[in-house]
Amino acid sequence: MLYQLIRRVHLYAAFFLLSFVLMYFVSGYVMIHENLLENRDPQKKTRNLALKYKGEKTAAAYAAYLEQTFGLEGKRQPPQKREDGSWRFAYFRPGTSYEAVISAAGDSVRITESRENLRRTLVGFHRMHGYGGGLLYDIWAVCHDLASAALILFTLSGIYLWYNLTSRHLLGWLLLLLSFGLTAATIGYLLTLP
Amino acid sequence: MRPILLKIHLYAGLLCASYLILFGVSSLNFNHHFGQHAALKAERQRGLRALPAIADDQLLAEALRDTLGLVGWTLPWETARSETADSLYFQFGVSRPGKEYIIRVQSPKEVVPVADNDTLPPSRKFAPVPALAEPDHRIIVEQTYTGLWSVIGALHGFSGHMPRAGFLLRAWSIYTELCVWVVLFSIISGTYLWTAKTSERLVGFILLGAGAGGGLLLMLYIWLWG
Repeated sequence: MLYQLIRRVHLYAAFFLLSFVLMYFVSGYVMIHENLLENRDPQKKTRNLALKYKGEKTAAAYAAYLEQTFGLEGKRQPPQKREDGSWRFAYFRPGTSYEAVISAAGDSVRITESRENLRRTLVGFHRMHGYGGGLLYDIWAVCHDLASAALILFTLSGIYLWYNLTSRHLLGWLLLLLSFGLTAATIGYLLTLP
Repeated sequence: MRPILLKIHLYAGLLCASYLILFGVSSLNFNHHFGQHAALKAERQRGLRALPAIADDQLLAEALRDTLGLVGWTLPWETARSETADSLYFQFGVSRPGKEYIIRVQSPKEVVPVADNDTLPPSRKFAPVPALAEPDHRIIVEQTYTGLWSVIGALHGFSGHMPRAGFLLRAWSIYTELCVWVVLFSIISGTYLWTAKTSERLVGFILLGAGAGGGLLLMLYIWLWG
């Protein structure tokens, strides 16, 4: 009974999160094999525009105005007030990002749009994490958490399933020893290397 | 066919068990930052009789890193030169999972020997001029231990291509490659094994549609419209 329950949890969690697990491993593979896909600098377009903004000169108010007026879409990054008094706002999503710099006087904005190629888009999907930046990206962060937790769940449930499914465990124990031994040795090596 | 696939699915999964746990834990840490990074510093000094005769700063940094027996990548943005009245300074950084180094090399400027005996004080007028010693280059290595969590985070997707990496890290790069393929295989084999269970087909299709399909739509939406 418990075996069937855990098997179903293992199976159903994998099905539910299949697209995310697949995305993380495919994009991760592209990241560790740097020459697999072409790595090109983004294509950039810059516009200098007059800013007809009469509202509060706060980060939140500026950000809302920029998004509505100029259609800047993506995960909102923390705004930066620069030493010269200008404000920098950034929006990121895999494949496209925007940087908007409002002048110190508040009367103009420079918007730079960057378009990435396939490799950098995949890397963008892989590296996008953290809560904040809008509801859509909080949903993404929840999916990221679920996929991460699922990897741990697959492993622990998989070990349970193997132990109950097979009568002879020697090979399994040897593989587990090899796996955890290599990981522990690698961590220990990096911690103790002078 | 199914029994063989099931066995491969099981045992390949066991082989990758620790890697998947490390992946999962490090990913959760990227989102929630519950792992505390350490910043313990230590310093040591040594001397060198001669520096490698290399003009390029990056190549010189790599040569000194190798001479000092350090492992890791040199950091171009930490490389700098400066000088005072009597010394030349060369600084560079080295980074690897678990430690970061700033190395400062202090070299004396060339000493001009005194040639005119008349300028010596009377008490030393007939004393022999001692031979000049070969300049000593003083090297200060400041290391910062960044802790266990930085190692765990770095091993997430670490390709093993690190200068002077030992056998274990090269083995880790092979292990990484293997685990990626095992996960991809497990997705396919697991789906195939599921098709034998007619009682679970409806639930499986619903979860694939809602979960996997919904996830794909979410990715497309973010990519196209953000």
